[in-house]
This record gives sequence, structure tokens and C-alpha cells, in this order.
Amino acid sequence: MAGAEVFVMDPDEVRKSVEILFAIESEVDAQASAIATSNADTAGPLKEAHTALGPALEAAGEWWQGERAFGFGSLLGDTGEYLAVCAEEAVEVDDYNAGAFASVAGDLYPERGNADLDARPDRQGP
Amino acid sequence: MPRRPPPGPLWRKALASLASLPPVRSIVEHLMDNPPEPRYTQAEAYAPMEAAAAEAVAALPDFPGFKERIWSELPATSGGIDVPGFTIVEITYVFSLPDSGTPLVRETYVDVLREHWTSLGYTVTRDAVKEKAGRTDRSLVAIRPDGIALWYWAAGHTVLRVQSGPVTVSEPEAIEYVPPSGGVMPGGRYDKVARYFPGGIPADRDAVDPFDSPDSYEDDL
Amino acid sequence: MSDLTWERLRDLDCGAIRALGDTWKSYVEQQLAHTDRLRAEVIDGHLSAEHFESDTATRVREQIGMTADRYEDDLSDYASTRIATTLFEVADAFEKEQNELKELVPLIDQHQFDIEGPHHEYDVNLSGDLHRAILTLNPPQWLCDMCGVQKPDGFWDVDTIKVLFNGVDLYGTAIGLAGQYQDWLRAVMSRAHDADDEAAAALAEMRENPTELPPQLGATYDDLVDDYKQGVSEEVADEAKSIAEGTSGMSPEQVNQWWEGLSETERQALIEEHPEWVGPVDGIPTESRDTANRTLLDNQIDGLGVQIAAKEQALQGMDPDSDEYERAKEELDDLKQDEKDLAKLQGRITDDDGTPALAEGPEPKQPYYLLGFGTQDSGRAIVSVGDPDTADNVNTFVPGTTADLGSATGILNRVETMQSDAQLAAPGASNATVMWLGYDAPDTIVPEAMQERWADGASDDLERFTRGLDATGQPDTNHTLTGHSYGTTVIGHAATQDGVNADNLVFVASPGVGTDTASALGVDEDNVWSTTNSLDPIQLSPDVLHGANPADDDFGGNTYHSDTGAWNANNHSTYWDDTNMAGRETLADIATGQR
Repeated sequence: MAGAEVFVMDPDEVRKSVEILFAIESEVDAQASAIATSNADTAGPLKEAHTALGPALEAAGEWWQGERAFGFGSLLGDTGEYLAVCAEEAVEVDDYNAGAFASVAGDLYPERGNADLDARPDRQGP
Repeated sequence: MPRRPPPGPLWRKALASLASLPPVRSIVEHLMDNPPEPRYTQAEAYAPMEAAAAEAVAALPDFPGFKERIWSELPATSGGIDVPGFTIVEITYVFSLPDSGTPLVRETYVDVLREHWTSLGYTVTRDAVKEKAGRTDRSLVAIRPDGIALWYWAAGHTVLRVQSGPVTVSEPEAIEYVPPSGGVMPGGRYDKVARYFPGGIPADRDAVDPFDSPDSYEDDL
Repeated sequence: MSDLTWERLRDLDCGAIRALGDTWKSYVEQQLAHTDRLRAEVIDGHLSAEHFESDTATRVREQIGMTADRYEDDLSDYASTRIATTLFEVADAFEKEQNELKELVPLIDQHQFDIEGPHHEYDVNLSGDLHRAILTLNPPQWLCDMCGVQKPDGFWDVDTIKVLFNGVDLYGTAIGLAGQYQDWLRAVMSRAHDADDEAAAALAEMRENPTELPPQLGATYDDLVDDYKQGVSEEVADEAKSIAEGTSGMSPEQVNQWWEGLSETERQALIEEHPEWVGPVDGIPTESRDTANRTLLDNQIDGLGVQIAAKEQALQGMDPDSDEYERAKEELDDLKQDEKDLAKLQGRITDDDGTPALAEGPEPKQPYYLLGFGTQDSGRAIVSVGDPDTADNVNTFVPGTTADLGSATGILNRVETMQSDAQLAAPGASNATVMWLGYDAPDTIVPEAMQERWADGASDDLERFTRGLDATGQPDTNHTLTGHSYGTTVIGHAATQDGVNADNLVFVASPGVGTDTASALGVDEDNVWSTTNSLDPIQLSPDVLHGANPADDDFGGNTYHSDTGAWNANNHSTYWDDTNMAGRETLADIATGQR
């Protein structure tokens, strides 16, 4: 995050970007949850029928939700948090602090679906 | 390459049954492993085969001409498996698609060739009609005493095929070009023999006029 | 591993599986709207350089773009190609076998048979009631009909006595029919288990080695993002390698979707830099495989030349009487034979100027396509005359005993004959005929062709090849699988164990196809054809070797006539000879959908 020789920032526009990033993050999470549920609903009878497909399908749905869709949403969320801080301070921030940014973003966007940090797997300790 | 008349069904079953008995089987296997000496080598076969095609063409009235000629080969078998060193030569003359569909080519020529080949003492081994959606296919096969087979097949295309039976494989350079009959341009796009003449087809050959077949093909063969 | 029972297979809701596939497809579309929005409204909108410009701003835009790219690839590779396609394929496969069960199970019930035994090897046996009925000379009407006797009317009825003396036939007939139903049921379950296991593997392999996600913004971002970009640049190569090595779990249809999802540059790079990952892979289009395989063929012939020179040099320093010399000489001879065989194949399919050759045949001339080759075992060669990806009719020919790389060009003559016959029979259609010597064929009739292991070894590869043709070909192509001799056994094993994608099966001179009934083959019985000429000793093959002769009436399906050649010759391989025009005409009709 090196400093810039040229610097332009319209904080309002950056905030609008943040809102979109958080909105997509939230929608992706909800939609991944829905598809995982549909997946599990179909996998259930297949598991009961002792197919090899049933457990594999269930695992695939969970993996998609927990790894790929969540990973995408999480990346958008992190970027949004960073931009939120930049917009708030009207400068780009060189010292990256994920926890602090998340906290600021949580204060600024209380309606955000992922505002509850403790509930986020990427914020949970080992 | 002499061919014997096909045995009747009982004969065949008896032979098949006998063949399964160990002592007899060894005799049959001996025959299988020692096929009769072919009458021709591959290189020798093309001339009489092409002559047979030209002779058939000469018998056909109002002949419209073939579109293409193809030289190809099939594996020859002995003892139930493909045998290296032997091949079967197949020469195919194909009518154009419009000509293939005319009653003259699909019906009249079958009748003419049946009568013609029978009159020459050839054995007609197949004379079949198949009704299909939108067309009637005909197939006429005659075998000459020297074993060369003639097959007139009116299917999607109508073709005249000439087949050698098993012949010993010849070195490529031993195979001589024989010009096509039936109006196919020698060495032209539709004279499909290039595989055998990678250096090019002799250019001094003229197209054979199907309506003026020579008495002898000696110069060409 | 699949533990489906026939009852559970029967009761599966395939509609629900397919509906879930549709849900995933819709989900993918829904998610793609998010990445579109990111690009339009964020990267090119609110966060454009007009509103936010600095080195960091550029980096953030790149990060968002990279995140969107990654998600789109994930949606394509995982959600669509892997999950949705797997669901569609397995739903189709299960439903096909359910339909077989709907036909089969009532027949088993109606004939008073019982299904017994473990679900991987069901038995179909006579029920106690049927045993009693036969023992008390009160056989059911269907059994009387099959044995050609009247149903006895009371114990002292004349027919009763006839039945009494024919008691063995009653039992034998009933057991024979039960055996056919058993073959059918086992084939249904084998294919269902195979489809189930393959689907599970496709999903499981997806999770094994997923592509890394882009790094999050942070202190180590600059280092991590370089690693990520390096990984992305190698992603296609890694996937291609995994697919070629058979560790991806992807079906040929999924491979095809993956291939179509690559950019033209990526595809070209793979063909040129890693032809070994393209040429042999079922599901990649024929043109690309052909190009890659021709490169591989050139390379292999060159490589053999180098090996031969090195071996010859090494021999010069050895004692000619030593064992070491003897071994080295044998190895040298093998290398020379491989080089000669490959050069012969190359010469056949390549023009003098190095371009792909056209096969001689009726207009339009058809090019050769090299779909695979190898020198392992007795050798492999898969060559198509005509492009199977664009053809209306594709006939795949599987040769039998003694087929090897050295005889491949001779077999190709036979394939060209079939292709030529098909073109003449159906000039309005486009046709392709494939030589599939994609397996290690037996070298000898006794004992090798009497063993099933060669067919079992080929089964999965033939299944994948036919599914690959389906994936790369036209939707309504008429697919025929034609086997000769042991090649029919290969087809039968593949059809009953794994399933093949074919509209027609043709068995020429079959010693048996591993089952006693056409019903077990997974292809409409009306489209199963067999022919054996009357002087072919193959008809004497005992059923215990490879099952019943498919040309027998009891087998089901259809037969067609083939003429014999000379009476004193073994007629086992005369089916394409000049003596069997009848058989050639019929085969051409089947292969072009005219029967």
C-alpha cells in the first residue's frame, strides 16, 4: 500500500462503492445459504438411498458455500472495509489493519449483514 | 483363387460340426493355414479387373458415364485372421448422384447386367432388392471363373465394384497405372488412385470413351 | 462407493436431482449478475479514476476485478461444470436404469422369480412357488408356452406325462430365463453404480485441489498477489494435466465444457506446448486432438530414432555372447518395430507435404483424424475417417484378437470400406467411421481370447470414448458401435458394466458379449444386431467363455445375414471380404440409420 504521487478521491463516490460491495457480499452470503439448503434437501434422500452421490453432493454444497462463495463475499467485504475507512478519512490509508477497518466499517454500516464480526469465520481464532 | 460353389446349409452345418471334432479339426485347420495359391499378384490384378469393368460398361445402353473411380484394398484373411502379405483389391466406379437415381441406372442396368453376366457364364451369387423409405435398393453380384467378382449396387449412389479376391501384396512400384473406363478423366480429380502413384499419374493417357470400348485392352493392361 | 439397491434405485426422485441441477444453473446466472455489477457500478463507476485515483486506487480496482474474475471462474468450473453437469448426467443415467427396472422387475415378478443376494451381485432365482409348480407338474402357462407343451389338465392328462418326461426342459428353461433376467439386473445395477461412483468422484475431486483465492488486502498483499497471479497463469495447465492423468474426476462432457470455457489462446497454447494433455483426452474436440496427436506422433518417432541410435551404440561395446547383449538386442528390435509401426501409421494419415491426408473414397473425400495412439502392450491406434464431431452418422469399429499397432493400417482399410459403404448408402448424410484400437487386444485365440480380462481392461476406456464422441458431436448424431470377434466382447462388457453411448450395437462374428441377453446391453434391443456366417467356427464357442452367442434366437435383438467365403477356409474374418456384399450392405444401412 505504497503512497501515491497522484491522488484524487471523492469520498461520496467511494462510499457508494462500499455500499455496493457490502450489498453484494450480503446477497452472495444469503444466496449461497439458499443453494446449500436446496442442495442438502436433495442430498438427504440420496444419502438415505445409500448412493455415493448423496454425501458427495452435500459436501460439495457445503464446500461451495463455506469456501468459494464465502471467499468471494469475504474478499469484497474486506475491500469494502478498507475503502470505508479511506472514505471516512478522505485519504487513502497506508497502514492496513483488518481488525480496525472492520470495526470502523461496522460502526459506519450497522445494517451490513457481516457487521457482526464474531460471527464471521474469517475473524474467528484457531 | 478358384472358388467352389457354396455348399448347401446341411453341408455347412456338417462341416462346422465336423470341424469341432479334434481329429477332423486338425485337417480343417491345415486347409485354413494353407490357402490356395492366388491366381494373381496385386500388381497383376488391376488390368483384368479394369478390363472387367470396361467390359461391363460396354454392355450398358445409353451409358451416362461414371463420376469417379476409386482403388482401395481390404485385408485378406486366412485361418480366421488378417494375413500380412495378402490383400483384396476393390475398384469402385461411382455414378453421379443424379444419374444414380434414374430408372435406367437403378433398374434397367441391373437387368442388363444380370443377363449379360449370365450369358458370359459368370455365377450370379447375389440378386437382391431392398425396399427403403423413398427408394428401392438393388444388389447384383457375379463371380467370374477366374475369381474376380463384379458387384452392381444401387443404393444411395449406384456403383459398379470389381473385386479381386485374395491376392499377394505387391511392392508399390510394381503397380502400374491403368486408365479408368466409363468416362472418368485419367489422372483427374475423380480418378482416385493417387495413393498408389505418389510421384504422379502418367499424363499420356487419354480418357476411355465408354461408347467405344476397344476390342482388346492389351496396350493398357 | 455406491451401495444402491435395486429398490432404492427404482424409488429415487431423478426429477429432484435434475431440478437441483437447474437450480444451480439459475444460481450461476444470478451470481454472474453480481460480478457484472462490480465491474459496471464499482470499477468503472463509483470507483473509477475520475472519483478515486492513486496507486492504491489502481490496486484496489485490480483487486476487485481479480476477485470478480476468480468468482466467475469458480462459477463456471465448480458450480456449473462440476455440480450442475454432474447432477444432469447422473439424473439421466439413473433415470435410464430406472426405466430398465420398470420393464424388468414386473417380468421377474410375473415369472415367479425372486431377486436375492447382495446388491452388487444380485441373483435371480426360481421362487419356492415356481419350484413347487414344476415339481407337482403344474407349471405356469408361460413355461408351458416356452417349452411348447400344453398346460396339463390334471395329473393323468396326456400332456402331464409329456411334461413329466420333459421335466428337465421345464427346469432348464426356467433357469435359463432367470439367468437372462439376472444378467439384465446385474447390468442395470452395474451401470447405476458406475454412474453414481463417477458422479461422487467428480464432486469429491472438485474439492481436493481447488484454485487459491486472491489474497486479501493487507501488509503482505504485494507478495501474495504475485504468487496468486503466478498460480492463475498455471491454472489451465494444472487442470489440463489433471484431466489428462485421469485425476480430475471429470466426465468427457465436463471436459468438453472446460475446454469450451478456455480462451482460444489458452487452447492453442495447450495444443502446442502440452500436446500430451490434449491428444488422448475424450471430450476435447476432434480437430484439436488430431493436431496434438500428430505432434506427439512426430515427437515419438523422433524419440525412438534417438533411442535406437543410442541402443545400437551401446550394443557395440557388449559381448555378443552375453545375456546383456541378448536383452539389449531384444529391446532394440522392439524399438525398431515400434518405430516402423508408427511410421507406417503416420505415412497412411499424412500427405507427403506433412499435411493431414484425405482417405480415398467417394466424394466428398474424408480426412483422417488421429484420436490416439501408443506403443504400450500390443499398441493402440484410434483413427477416424471423417470428422465425428460434425457427422450425422458415426460408426466406431472395435477390432478383435491379434489387432495391434502393426496391423492398424490393415484394419484401417476395413474401416475405410465401412466408411465408403456408408457414404454410398447415404450420400445425403455426413458420415464418419472410427477405428478404436484403444485397448490391448488378445494376441492369441487360445488362451488369451478365451479370457475376459482384455475386455474388462477396455471397458472404462471405451465408455469414455463413446461419451467423448457424444460430448463433442452433434446432438442428434446416430452412433453405432461395431465389434468384430473379441471386439464384440469388449463392447458387451463396456455396455453392461459401464454403459456406452450408442444408438446401435453391431456384433460381427461374436464369441459372446459377456451376457446372455440383449436386454442387458442398455441399448434398445431393436437396435442390437448380430451376424455370424454359417462357416464361422466362432459359433462353436461354448457359452461358458463369454456368454451366449448374440446371434442365437434366445439372445434377443436382431440378426442379419452374412455370406461365407470359400468352404475350406476359416470364415471368421470374411465379413468385409468380397464374398459378403449382403453383410456389407446391411451394416452400411445400420450405420446410416436406415434399418
